Amino acid sequence: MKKYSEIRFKPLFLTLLMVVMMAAPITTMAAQPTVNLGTTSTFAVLAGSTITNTGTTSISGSAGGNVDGNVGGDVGLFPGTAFDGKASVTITNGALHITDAIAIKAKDDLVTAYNDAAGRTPVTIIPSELGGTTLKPGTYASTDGTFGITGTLTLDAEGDPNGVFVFQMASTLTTASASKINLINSARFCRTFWQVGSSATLGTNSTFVGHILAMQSITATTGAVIQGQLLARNGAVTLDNNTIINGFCDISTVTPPVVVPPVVTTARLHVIKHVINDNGGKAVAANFKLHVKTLGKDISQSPAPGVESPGTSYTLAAGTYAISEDAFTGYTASYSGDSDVRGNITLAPGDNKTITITNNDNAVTPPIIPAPATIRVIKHVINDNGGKAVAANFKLHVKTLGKDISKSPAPGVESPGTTYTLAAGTYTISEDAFTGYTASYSGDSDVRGNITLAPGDNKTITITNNDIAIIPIISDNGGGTIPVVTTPEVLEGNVVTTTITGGQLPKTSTHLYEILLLGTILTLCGAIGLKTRKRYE
Amino acid sequence: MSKVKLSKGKHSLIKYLFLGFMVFGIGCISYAMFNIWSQSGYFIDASTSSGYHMPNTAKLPRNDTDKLQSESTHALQASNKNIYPEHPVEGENIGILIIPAINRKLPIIQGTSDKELKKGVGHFIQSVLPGENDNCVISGHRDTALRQINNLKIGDQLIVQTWSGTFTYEVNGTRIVHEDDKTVIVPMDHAVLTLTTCYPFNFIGNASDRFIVSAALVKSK
Repeated sequence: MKKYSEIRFKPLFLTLLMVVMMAAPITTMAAQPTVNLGTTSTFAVLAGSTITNTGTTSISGSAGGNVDGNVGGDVGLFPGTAFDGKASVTITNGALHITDAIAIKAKDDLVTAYNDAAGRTPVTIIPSELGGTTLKPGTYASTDGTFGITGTLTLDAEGDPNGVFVFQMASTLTTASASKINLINSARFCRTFWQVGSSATLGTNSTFVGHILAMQSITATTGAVIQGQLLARNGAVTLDNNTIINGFCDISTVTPPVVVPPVVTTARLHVIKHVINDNGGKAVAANFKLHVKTLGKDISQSPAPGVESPGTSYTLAAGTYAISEDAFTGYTASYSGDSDVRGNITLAPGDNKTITITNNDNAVTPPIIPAPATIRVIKHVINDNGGKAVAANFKLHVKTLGKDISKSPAPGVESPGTTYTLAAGTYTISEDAFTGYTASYSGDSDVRGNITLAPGDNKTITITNNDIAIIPIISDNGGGTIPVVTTPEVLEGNVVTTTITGGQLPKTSTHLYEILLLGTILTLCGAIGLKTRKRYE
Repeated sequence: MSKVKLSKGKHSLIKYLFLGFMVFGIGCISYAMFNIWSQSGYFIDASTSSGYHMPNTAKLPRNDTDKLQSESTHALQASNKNIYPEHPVEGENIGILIIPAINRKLPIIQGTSDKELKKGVGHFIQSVLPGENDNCVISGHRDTALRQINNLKIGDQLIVQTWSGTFTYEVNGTRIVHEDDKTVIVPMDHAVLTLTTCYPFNFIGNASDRFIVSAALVKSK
């Protein structure tokens, strides 16, 4: 019985405890509710015209948590589309929404939130300089419509995590270099809103907290750390080596957010491509492809076309880099600036180095056109034994590498013969068979009609055909081709050869075995296929 | 209904595909076997085979550079070697090579390109003709004409019949060399018959070695 009651009471007790816990924050809730950001809450950065980033910027949201909607590290843009320097922005737990439906909706919600914040009352008028002051939850404005922070602003929620701070500015918000916002006694960044009538500028290496809802633009200068959102309705958001943390808004946060200022591990490298065209060259810097490599591999932004001064700027981790460019014919490349002569450079953290690659066009040497050579082929026919042929009956060939040149074959021509203009090389002069005549070469060729032409040569070959006294047997004309060097001995027979030295052994393989093998494989495939065809059906 | 038809169509398609494979395969085998058999020269009577005829002295020499070279360099010293009244042209039948040891009678064709080697064994143009006092080189396919040539033993006879006589050679050695070996086709001071073929014999593809049989002239009539 005792046990039973214990079981019954445990959940009851727990429920009671929960109700009390939930009631506690409600009862201590501040007078003014938080500004409803709507879908804008998923964005860390939202801009109207452009987003421009220089250097390495990290934007992060929180994963999972949904305490009051601030989970997003999203970056949005509408109606603009240009996000410069996107490559060196690291987004964690967020996505890019460039003029998409989500960005459009967020922009609508931003207008609502902006109007909400701008309409909050009652307004406490305080001096425009917030540095060195401590403020409690409420709505604040200054007489001149601006706010500035030089030094440290402390926001004290007096233990109420839902204490809302609204700062209304008719014109600008400007924070000084290294300025800071300190959150104490449960004050939270997600309950801090800055409604800026025109533009906001966050100083170098400053630490800023809260949601900036600006009518125009927001500029975060070098090294500024933001916990919250940069929401610009119409203008641009400009980033430079920033850290933006938006997301999980921890209810238990009683201490100021620990924002680690970014340790500078990066260096800047400027690569300038300079092209000198003093010899008629036409290339411009962009024709050259530049590589920035480390450990033999291109970095993510490399290769890129060359850019004349001020060149291309890279933000790189400290280390050793090699700058190179793709080969470009007709130009000599040289390195100057902070690299060695081969384009190697070592960057220490914080370095700001410049390399110039100068390409000077080479003096153009006119291409060497090989001087043509000429060859004059004279056909001479001697008819001292009753022959009737004339030079034009003989068909002459001029061949190189076994092929007739374009003007060959041609009928023979008695002196002065036929002149061919040819590129330097080796040519063979021959003629088609002609019964009853012997042929012999004279002039600049060898006895077989081979001739080698050097550039500029002017050579002459004479092929003399003499009719043979006794024509052995009148065979069908053109039954074969006469070797161009035909000696009477050849025609009379008695030809003997001697074996040459070092002849190439003939190829004596047929493809019959391959065909046999192929046939066997095909037959086997067919047989097996036929047998097992049931399986495919 | 249409489903049944489809499966029936599919069925026969596969069947015909495999049947086609088999028919084509058997065709390949038959083609190869027929070629091997027909080119092996077991029953060829070279004396009546096409292309073999007594030389026609009126036939005009051909325009062939290789031959030209040999002719022009040897016209002078031909006096003691003129067994052949005319130099054969490429593709012409020179005579018959008889290898009793492996039961072959093969036509000898002038030239060693594919075309000639299909008809029998080829005489290497830049070598002397059979019976002459130098190195006569004859090549043949390893898988047809000169198949089983590895069964030749030293002392086996190689008989060459040409229009200039019958020359009997005796095998005095075999060896295997690389295809680029330059010591096989070389001049000799006595009459030698060199048979070359590809090696290894049952290699699929172009074999890179050559099997060489050397034989010395022992009798000529």
